[in-house]
Amino acid sequence: MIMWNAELTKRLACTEKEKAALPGFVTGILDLADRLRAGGIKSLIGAELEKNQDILAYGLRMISEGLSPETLEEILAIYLATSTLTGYEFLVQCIYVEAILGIASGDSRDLLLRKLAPYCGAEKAFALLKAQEPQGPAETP
Amino acid sequence: MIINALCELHRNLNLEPRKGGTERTKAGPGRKSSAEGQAQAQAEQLQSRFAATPKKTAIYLELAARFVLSVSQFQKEGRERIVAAAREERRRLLKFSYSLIASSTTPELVRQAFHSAGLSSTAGYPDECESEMFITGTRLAIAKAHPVVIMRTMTAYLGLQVFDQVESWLLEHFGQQAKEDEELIIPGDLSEILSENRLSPGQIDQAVRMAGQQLTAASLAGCSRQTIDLVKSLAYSRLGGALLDWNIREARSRLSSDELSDAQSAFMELLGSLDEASPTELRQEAWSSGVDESLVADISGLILELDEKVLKSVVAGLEPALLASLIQAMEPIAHDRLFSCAPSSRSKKILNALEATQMLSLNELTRRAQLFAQKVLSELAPKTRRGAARSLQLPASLRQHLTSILSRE
Repeated sequence: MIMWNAELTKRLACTEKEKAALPGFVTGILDLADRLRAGGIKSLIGAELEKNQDILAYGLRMISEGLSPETLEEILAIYLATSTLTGYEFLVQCIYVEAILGIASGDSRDLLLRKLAPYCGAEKAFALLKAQEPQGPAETP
Repeated sequence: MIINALCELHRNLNLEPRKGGTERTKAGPGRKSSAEGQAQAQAEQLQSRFAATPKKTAIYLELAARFVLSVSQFQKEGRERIVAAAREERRRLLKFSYSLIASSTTPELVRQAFHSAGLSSTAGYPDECESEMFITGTRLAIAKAHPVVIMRTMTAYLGLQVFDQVESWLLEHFGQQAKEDEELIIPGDLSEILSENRLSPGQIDQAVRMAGQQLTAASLAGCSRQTIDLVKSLAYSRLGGALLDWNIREARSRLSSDELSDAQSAFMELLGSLDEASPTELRQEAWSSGVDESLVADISGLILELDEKVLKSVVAGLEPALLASLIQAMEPIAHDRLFSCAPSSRSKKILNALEATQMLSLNELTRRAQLFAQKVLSELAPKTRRGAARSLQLPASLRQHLTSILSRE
């Protein structure tokens, strides 16, 4: 079941122009997760991610601490909820956190895509799914 | 899904914009020219709305550390320890937290208990950050979470700015690696598979994540220190390694050898599923390379098509060693059927015999398959003189498998 909260919805709201950037952003995360699956988590920690002290870098460090997806979810939700961010930037951080949870669970690229795509909004999510799965069955809204 | 966890927190926290607060909306993609610019913007900080002066932050950290150390001692030494801590503690929130941990409260009731005691922000407690930290910490302590988990979660309210500082503290207090732990070796192939360099670091890392900490710890609990160190070097930070050691110790004290062995098998299966040509499959290939595929098909077909009652009699009437050696020439689905028709004590004997089984030549396998087929025939044959006079009524495919096996030279 997906819960709903008016305050959170308001906080996540962003413009159409901003939403248009999300599929590309999600694809970037999927590629990064591919690299992680090939080289292991240690190949990313200590590499370029260290330069970006964002929640993704910290999330990966917490995965390597062996924290379970449930624990990570609680910790990362606290970081997000107590942050001062709103709008597009908040939404981007939420997508990062969803990706961290997927990586912590050992999700495949396909499963991760299905978890992240809904953040782009229904229309863009279907387009993204279609673009990422050219051989798969076409899904229409 | 993070949205659900966020909804929950938005319900519990007072997240109204603060007077003179730092609420901000950063530039979206439309206003940033490059991806680099975006990354930099995101990297700036995820500042907590509870971010305080360095002095106040240091006080929060000190309180959290004190609480976590008390909980750690309680977990090691028992209830008396937390009762003593509650008696000695002067700070109201900490005292109340210790009392709750010492009582038999459930984690779900912790928030309500803080509220009733006037120690939550909704009940008028002036410091929401401190209150939330201790509600969270107490709930986790009652749920028997590891101190590392409690400290990380409590200090999340202070934002990512204290992340590194908390890590240093955790390493100092809980980062000791278990070099001195006694090894427990459970016979199995996991150590060999992991050290063969057949799997990429990514595959091992992925298997660790998919398995989760409990299964990973249980499967490594029966492996050598060298294997544990290898997995730690690929998938864990120093702190993560210490946490894994703790879970391994816990698994060794809680689980039986059989359960640890089962965990190893499950982990190997997981590794196999990540590898197109997994070690398990490679072993099967190595076995099957010397085995006649049609013999495998006939033995498997025979086992799958036999009436359950007949198969049970056959399994009961043959030596476990013979059955174990025949397993070399069977499809996995036939293994399942064979074991499902054997009582657990007999299954155990077959498995023991399987461990001692050597790889057999095709001739030897054929001879054993023929013994098996003869036993099947004797079970199917009518037991009365009158019945013996009639020809044996068998389904065509079953007859074909039997003929094919028995006519081999």
